[in-house]
Amino acid sequence: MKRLVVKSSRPGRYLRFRESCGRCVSLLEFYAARFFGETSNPFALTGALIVALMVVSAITGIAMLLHYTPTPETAVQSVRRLTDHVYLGSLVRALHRTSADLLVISILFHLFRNWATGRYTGPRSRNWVIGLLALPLIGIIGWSGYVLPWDERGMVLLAWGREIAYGPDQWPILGWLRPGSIIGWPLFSVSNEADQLLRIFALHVGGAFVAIWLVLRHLRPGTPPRARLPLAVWIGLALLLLVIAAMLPLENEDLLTFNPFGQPATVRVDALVSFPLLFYPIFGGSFLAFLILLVWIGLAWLPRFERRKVPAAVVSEIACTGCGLCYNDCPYGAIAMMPHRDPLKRSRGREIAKILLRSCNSCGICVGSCSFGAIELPALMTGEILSRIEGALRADRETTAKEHLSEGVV
Amino acid sequence: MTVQGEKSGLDEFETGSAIGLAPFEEGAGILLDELSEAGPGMLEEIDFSIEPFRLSEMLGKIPGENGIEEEGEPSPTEEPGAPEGAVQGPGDETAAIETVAADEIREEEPPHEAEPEEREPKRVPEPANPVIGFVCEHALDVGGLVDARGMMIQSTKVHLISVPCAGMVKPSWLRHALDNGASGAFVVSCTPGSCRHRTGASVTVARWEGKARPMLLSRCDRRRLKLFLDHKANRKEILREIGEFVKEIGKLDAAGEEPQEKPIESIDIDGL
Repeated sequence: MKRLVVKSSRPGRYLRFRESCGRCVSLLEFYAARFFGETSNPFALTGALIVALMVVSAITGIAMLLHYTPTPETAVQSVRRLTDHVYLGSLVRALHRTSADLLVISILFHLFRNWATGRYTGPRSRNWVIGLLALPLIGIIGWSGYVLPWDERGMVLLAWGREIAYGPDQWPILGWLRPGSIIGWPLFSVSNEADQLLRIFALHVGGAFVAIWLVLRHLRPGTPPRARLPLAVWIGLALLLLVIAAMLPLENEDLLTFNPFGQPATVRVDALVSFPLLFYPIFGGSFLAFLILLVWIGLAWLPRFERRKVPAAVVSEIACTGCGLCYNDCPYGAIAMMPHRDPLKRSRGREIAKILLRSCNSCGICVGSCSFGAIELPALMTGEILSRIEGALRADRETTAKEHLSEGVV
Repeated sequence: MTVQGEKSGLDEFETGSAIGLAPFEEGAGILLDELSEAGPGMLEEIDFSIEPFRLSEMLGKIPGENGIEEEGEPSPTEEPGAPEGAVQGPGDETAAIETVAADEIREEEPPHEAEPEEREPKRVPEPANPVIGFVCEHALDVGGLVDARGMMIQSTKVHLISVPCAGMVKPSWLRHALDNGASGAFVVSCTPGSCRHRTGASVTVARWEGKARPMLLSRCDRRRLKLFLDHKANRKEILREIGEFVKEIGKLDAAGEEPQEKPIESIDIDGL
């Protein structure tokens, strides 16, 4: 007996690897959902967790800002005072540090999850790149946060940062253009410590604002319903932060007195916030800058490996009543309600749905929303689906009739 | 899509060779080995030397369920006194399956006179007409599960239509299927937390529950409609649940129940 069997097209090696990673993520989500529940699963809420942790970091950062003085002479003392004499100052510092750590973990997992499950292809690739822009910025904010106390560790990290920023100047060929000077000049072209600290301080605070703006841009292309954490997850997150902050309190011993002649053998850097800095002693500034750039370009280039040319949804202007159901349901904000082109209908306030081609992911949710058959996916039209249903039923009736005939049943 | 996945998904049915079938694992192995060896391409012509297995029949063979005894069902090779060739063993790949209603078996086959072919265990009947399934391509990959006509290989009564997202499925499509003679219809969706398209699963649930427009009409025969919310990592569970649903539909059809619609009490333009 011959039968035609539909197979999935065989994916390439890269795609197979990505899909196997995606299966691992799915399994993790599946078992986490059993433990936490479907709506409170933190592994499916990484984006919302990032927003929540940024909020915690911003609030604790503002609280610390009230007591911090960005001058080389008083920076360490102000941090000490905050820890010792300000009510809950030590806890606020610990919460700031812990939330930043968890923020980096969430960002990295969010990045991995979206890559592994293919949520970065098509129109979502713009979102992917916007998210990637925020990634180095978060690293720079973390680095500047360590420099701000202006202690011995801050000095060492400042030197490392300068080396990495000016590293591209030593690249072959590209180094002639002095790209490192362009990058490093705004931050490091100072003649005294006070200006240097002020610029680092401005980078830390201003960078946080830019990061928040990028996250808002990251959210804007769609209407993510899960950008808000459920209350249960908020409570769980707050408890987790408090427990970690209580278990790993930040004491004044962490602050090292500035010693301009000393070079500590090891610098205690939080591996999560500034993890690329861990590679500095191995690779040096120039090569580390090259590696960071290479990884970033590779990540930004990934969506080009999976170009899917699925046509966007189309709207029938005749059938569209302007009810707005598709506009409400579209998860990507790819539908805009526009005034009707017909002057008469426009004068009556009639609107019409318009597909924003650059945002449409061809998911078909708008097709399901439309009660009037005004939206269709060209790749899978409603008529085709209905004819497939009728065809299956007709084929079954014919098969049954043939069986009855062969059995002699009339 | 993989051989291992298929086999492991239906492991519990492997012992059911009592009705004269080649064991499921061998049949599936042949089928899916050929699938895996076939080269790339969406459509391929493959010669299958066996009839497809029927999911509901296999479900009917779960020991301890549907009146089938866990013990006492003689295996084909251990059948005492069975005429040679009457029972088809594992090597016989030309085994064909016929669906026999449980009631017919009870009436027509006295146990003491039954021939080996006639003494088939009571099986849950298949639905009289196809069951239409709309499957979110991210919840369940139908590659390797369906033939070119869209019918499930495991059950010739289940027609699967893959859609980009369960949110694309209009409630009117389900009603269209029932109105045109389908025995039932179902939708396989991701769980709301894991939806690839963010809101597809939650929108589907809301439409199903009548909380969002266009809503599924309350007067549709809900016994013949089902929404499966399953995580994509749980493929085995999805297939098992589909099998259970098809079994329920088969029972309804065997009992002679027609799809029922509640009378229209008011014009419900929202659910159109």
